[in-house]
Order: sequence, then structure tokens, then C-alpha cells
Amino acid sequence: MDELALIQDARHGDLNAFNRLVLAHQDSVFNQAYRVLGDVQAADDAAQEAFISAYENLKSFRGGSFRSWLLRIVTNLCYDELRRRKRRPTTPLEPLDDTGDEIESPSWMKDSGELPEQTAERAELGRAIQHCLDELPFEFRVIVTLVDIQGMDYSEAAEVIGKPLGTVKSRLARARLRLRDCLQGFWELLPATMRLVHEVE
Amino acid sequence: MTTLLSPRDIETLSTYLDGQLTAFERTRLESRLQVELDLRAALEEMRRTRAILRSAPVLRAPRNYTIKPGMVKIRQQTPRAFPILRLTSALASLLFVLAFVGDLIGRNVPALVPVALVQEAAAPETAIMEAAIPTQQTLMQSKAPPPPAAESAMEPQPAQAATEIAVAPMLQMDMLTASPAPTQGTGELNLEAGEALRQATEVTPEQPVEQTEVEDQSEFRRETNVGWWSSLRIFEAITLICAVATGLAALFLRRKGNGT
Repeated sequence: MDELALIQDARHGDLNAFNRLVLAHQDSVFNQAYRVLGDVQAADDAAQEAFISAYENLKSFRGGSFRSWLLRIVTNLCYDELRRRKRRPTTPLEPLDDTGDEIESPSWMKDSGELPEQTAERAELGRAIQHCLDELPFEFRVIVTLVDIQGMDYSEAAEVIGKPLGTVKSRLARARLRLRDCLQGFWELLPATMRLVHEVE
Repeated sequence: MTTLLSPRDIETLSTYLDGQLTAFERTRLESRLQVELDLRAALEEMRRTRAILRSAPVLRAPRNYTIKPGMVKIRQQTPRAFPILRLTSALASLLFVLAFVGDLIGRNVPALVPVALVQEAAAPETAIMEAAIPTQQTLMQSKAPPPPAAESAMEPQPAQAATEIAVAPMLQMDMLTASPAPTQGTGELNLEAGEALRQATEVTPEQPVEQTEVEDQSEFRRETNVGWWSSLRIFEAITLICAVATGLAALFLRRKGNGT
């Protein structure tokens, strides 16, 4: 896929070209929104909004990584959403389980190649990680999602958040430190090879 | 445990894990790791934390976010001109109201200004007219036969009044009209009075010039006022048209944006 050619075509109003870019990056955009917002429905809305915004503002794309540009848009939308939530807190309509967590219906998360036990373990692990991510301040959550979950390098992450490399390094280190402390509370959910040292001892 | 590690050490470990340290920094850290057990433990914990995060399931988007023409069209129907038009309409309305109120207040002012101007213009004219009448009367009286000496001796006031005419023409006119028969025996006084009246009447040729100037000024002021008020009315009309037009345009765009 020639991404630059598709971007050029989309700039000239070719919606099909843009939709090919959407299909290529929608998982990444959705993941970023979900990890930052911690809510499937809100992440779904943010991802759709991000692609519409990207199409409308395609002329402002100055080159570089298209994925980084998309992630920057969705990160900003997530920030707006979190600010809106802070101003007008809402009660989720989804039912809660015994621990107070929302009961999701992750049918779309299923991987047909996994056993049910493996799927359950992954879901539990994912929930534990998300819980710890939710505990982080927004800036730390964004950077750790970009680097450790999206797999970006420091320069790409710096491009997304619009900050220098030093800020990325500092925020990432502090985020990992906090996550380490948080994940210690979920050590029984973690695979044996991933359990933290002092918990094993 | 890593509680004794400085934030700088934590950042260095994190950066080391991602392979972002310079060769010098990496060598220096590795030499420290060989001797500092806490640092090594912290590195191991951070490595596992990082591994846990990287093992987080990558979620698939629950649906496709492909864009349909209608979705973009709906958003494009909210034009950026709407707030500009709305602001313009509000400002034009405000200016119109201010101009209209100013006009209403000013409608009483022109009624006062011409009266003042007319009075100002009429005052010298009246004085001239009043000054001219006794002059003619005095001249006619100087040609008439002088009255008896006894009468003139008994009534010296007209002559004295005539001497004051040069100083106060208005007073002179009143007094002269009040005493139409000067005495014969006061010939010198009559001559002085005549001279004073002549001097007073010498002013009359200049007065039409002043009167013309006053009239010109009055006319100029009237024209200026008329020009000012007509400009104000034009301004009112322009602001009203602008307010209505931009308001309607904003309403149209808003309804179009809402799809109604």
C-alpha cells in the first residue's frame, strides 16, 4: 500500500483512498483510545471522530508518519473527552460485576486460535493492565500506551504528544514505576514468567 | 528493592531497556549494574513490567471506521462563516440601535438650534431697524421749526438723551420716540444729538454685511446639520440592512447545518 499516494488522493476528495488508510490504522487508533479512555463505547466514538476529523483536516498533514498524526488526533480527542467527563460525570449504563468493574461483552476480542482458558487469561490480564493504566495521570497513560502497547519508538511518541524526547523518557520511566507498583497487586493474574521479582520471592 | 534509587536512575534504566542510551551512558550503567544489586533488581522489575505491558492484548476495532459521504457532508454543513455572520449581525444591530437612539435624541436638538440661530440672526437686524427709525425722525425734526425756548428750557432731557444715543442706541431710540418735540433753544444740543445720530447711522451700512455673514453662518450650520442627520440616517439604513442580511444568512446556514 502506497500510503503517500493514498493520502494525496484523499486530499483531492477520494474517499475510497482515505478509507483504505482507515482500514490500515483503525485498530491502532481504537487501541489508543481504549487504553487512554478505558471504555469501549467512548473509544469507539473517539476513533470514529478521529477519522472524520483526520479526513476534514487532511490538508494540515505536513508529512511524516501518518499513524503518528492519527494517534495525535485521537489522543487529543481522548483528552477532550476526559475533560468533559470531569466537568459532567456520568454513570455507566453497563452492569457491574462483584468487584465493581463493568461487565463487557468482548465478543469482538475473541481470537479463534485460542482456547477458552487462554482467552479468559488474556482478558483478565488485559483488565488488570487497563485498571493500572486508569490509575495513571493522563500524560503518563498516553506515553506508556504509545511506547509499550503501540510499540512506538521515542521519537514517534514525541511527535504524537508534541514534546521533546527528554519529556518522553522522563514520563515513560515514571509511568513504568507506577505501573510496577500497581501490577504487584495483580501478581496472581500474571503468567509465571512475568511475575515481578519480589512477588516470586 | 528500588526505593532508594533516584528518579534519574529510574529514567536511565527505562531508557536502557528501550536501547535509547548513548554508548557512553550504556557502558557507565552496565558497569554500575555489575556492582549495585539494587540497581540490577530494579532493572529486572522494570523489564518485567515492560513485558507485561507489551503482552497486553491488542484489541481489534469493533467495527470499521470507514467514512461515508453523508458523514462528512453533515459535518461540512456547519460552515465556519456562521459565527462570523452571527457576530456581524449582533454588532450591526448594536450600531443601529445606538444610531437610532442618537437620531431620536437629535431630532429635538435641530428644533432648538435654529431658534437660537434665528434669534442670534434677528437681534442685530432688529437693532438696525430700531436704530434707523429714530434717525429718520431726528433728521425730520431737525428740519422742522424749533420749539419755543421756554419749552426747551423746561425740557432738556431729549437733548441729553440724544447725547447718550451714541453710547446706547437702543436707549436713544426709546427716548427719542418718547420725546418727539425737541426745543428750539437747544440748537447746539440738537446738533450734537444729530451728529451722534449720524455717527450711529453710519453703522447701518456695515450691519447688512454682518447680517449677511450671520445668515451665511446660520445657513452653513443648517446645511451642516442637514448633512449630519442625513449621514446618520444613511448609517442607520446601512447598519439595519447589514444586521438583517447577516442575521438571515446566519439563520439560513444554521438551518442548513441542522438539516432542517
